Amino acid sequence: MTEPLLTLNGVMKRFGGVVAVQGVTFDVRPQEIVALIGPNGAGKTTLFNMISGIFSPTAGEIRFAGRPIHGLSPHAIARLGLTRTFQNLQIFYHMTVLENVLVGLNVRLKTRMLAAGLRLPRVAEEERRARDMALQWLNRVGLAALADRPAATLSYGQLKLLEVARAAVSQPAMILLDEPMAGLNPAESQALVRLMLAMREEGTTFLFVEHDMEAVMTAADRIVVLDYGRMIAVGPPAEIAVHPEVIRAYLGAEIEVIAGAHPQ
Amino acid sequence: MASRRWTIAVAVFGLVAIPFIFTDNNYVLSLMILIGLFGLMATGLLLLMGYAGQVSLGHAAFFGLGAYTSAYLTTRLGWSPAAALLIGIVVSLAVAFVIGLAALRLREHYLALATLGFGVIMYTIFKNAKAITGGLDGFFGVPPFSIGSFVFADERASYALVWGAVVLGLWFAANVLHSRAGRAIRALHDSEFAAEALGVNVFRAKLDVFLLSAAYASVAGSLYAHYVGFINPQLFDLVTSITLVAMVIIGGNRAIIGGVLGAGVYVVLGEGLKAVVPKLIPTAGGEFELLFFGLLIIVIMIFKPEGLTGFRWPTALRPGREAR
Repeated sequence: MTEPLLTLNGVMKRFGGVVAVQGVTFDVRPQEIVALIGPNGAGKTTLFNMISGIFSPTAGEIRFAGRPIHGLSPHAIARLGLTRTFQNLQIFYHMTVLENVLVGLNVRLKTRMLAAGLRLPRVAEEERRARDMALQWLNRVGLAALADRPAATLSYGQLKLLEVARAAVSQPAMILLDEPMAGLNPAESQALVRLMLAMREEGTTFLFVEHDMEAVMTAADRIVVLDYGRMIAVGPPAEIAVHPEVIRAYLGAEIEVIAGAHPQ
Repeated sequence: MASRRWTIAVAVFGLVAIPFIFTDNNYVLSLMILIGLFGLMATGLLLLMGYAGQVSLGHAAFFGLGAYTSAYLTTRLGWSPAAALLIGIVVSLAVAFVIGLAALRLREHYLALATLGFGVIMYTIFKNAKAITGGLDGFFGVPPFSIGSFVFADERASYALVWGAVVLGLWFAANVLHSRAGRAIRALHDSEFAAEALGVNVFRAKLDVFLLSAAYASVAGSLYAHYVGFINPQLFDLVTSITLVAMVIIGGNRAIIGGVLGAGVYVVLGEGLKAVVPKLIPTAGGEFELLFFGLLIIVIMIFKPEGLTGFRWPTALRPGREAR
């Protein structure tokens, strides 16, 4: 068994008197795609915010690539190779589509302010390479034709894909996707699942929050289920689909449809 | 891109032509020099406010630090103006670093108040540290700028010096904005969360742009001291800081030329008001200018928050527009 890439051990978060997440323990192995599901308010985004360093956990341990990351700042965690997208879009609206992706490359580039201002030859060279890489990713998510448009002119679905390209361009070991399919039409959603599967083959690991059960059942190797901040189940899709507590808490009547639709 | 190069070429040609057109009109040149000095400073503040989205209501302090460092080192210690200007930058950067470490942890209104407080403190120091700053009298007889044996003595030489610095400053700023460092700065304007999550050290980016904008103000201050020849604390008070913010708002953040445009509007309108208002209202005091610019800011904020650079310019005149 390979060493897990991400490990959560007894992770807890309290906001004042409210316990948002409690006793969450699971791991994600390299090149695995794990889905995080649960009703609204179950603590999924809070968990994401803890993993990516926006909050530190009140208790418990989060390890990434063999080292503890709880308490590190978000940019330090991103530098270790763990990036994310946001449920409510966080786009740099004053920049072009290409520039948004270039911000994602910040960790891979070196130019500091003085060298940039003087436009030293190596800066121009680095900039050229960066643009090539960013364009390549825009191409992969199908936005290359819009590269020089202001980001504010894109549709909601396109902005979702832009966030994915921006998180992926630095080739991090792991990407957290917070409801990536929300607002995508079925074709776009399927294209994104295909992209995730292809990236997994290239070595990327995913943890994603999603309500679109079809996408979850198709993409995920394993599913973690949260309810009221507690982890109530973890396992492969076929197991989760028939898990009695999950059905009661979350899936409800929808389950027959999904179990029928999913060949596993 | 081609049209943009063309625009820049026309603008530079115009700048070079001005002193040859107004050969015996020092008034126009002196206004242009003033626009250049304010424009240089406003360009720095535009980077901080317009591009990084961080407020500073105390930027006149850095203008003052540059001016006083240059005045002190050249008049009291006999340093060369060029060396004094560089030391002025170092002093301003050092002060900006210390202030930035504390103030840039604050956001929005709190940052505005902290920088405002910093500006007031620096003004008080300029006014009271008599041994160094000359107190309320300030410095007289600051020599003109010089490089080696060449002295920028007359209006035309000063014009060339100041606008040379402005063009250099704009070039530097434009280069920064289209680089890794600049994208980090612009990213935090829209989403600090996203910037951090992508590996941008947001605090570091804020500090970088704060230092850069302080350096612009410092250079403008040094050049101002050498051009005018005397300085006093009044030049570096809260009103100057607010005036600078007004220039940035008037010019807008859709292109790096916004600061210079804002400075141009401010200086030209200010001169126009001085000529017209006393004729219309003989009892008007000096405050009418502040009143007018206050109103102008309100009107711009309501009807054209992107400022002058946000208008649809004819292609040939478009000031190097970016996505912003």
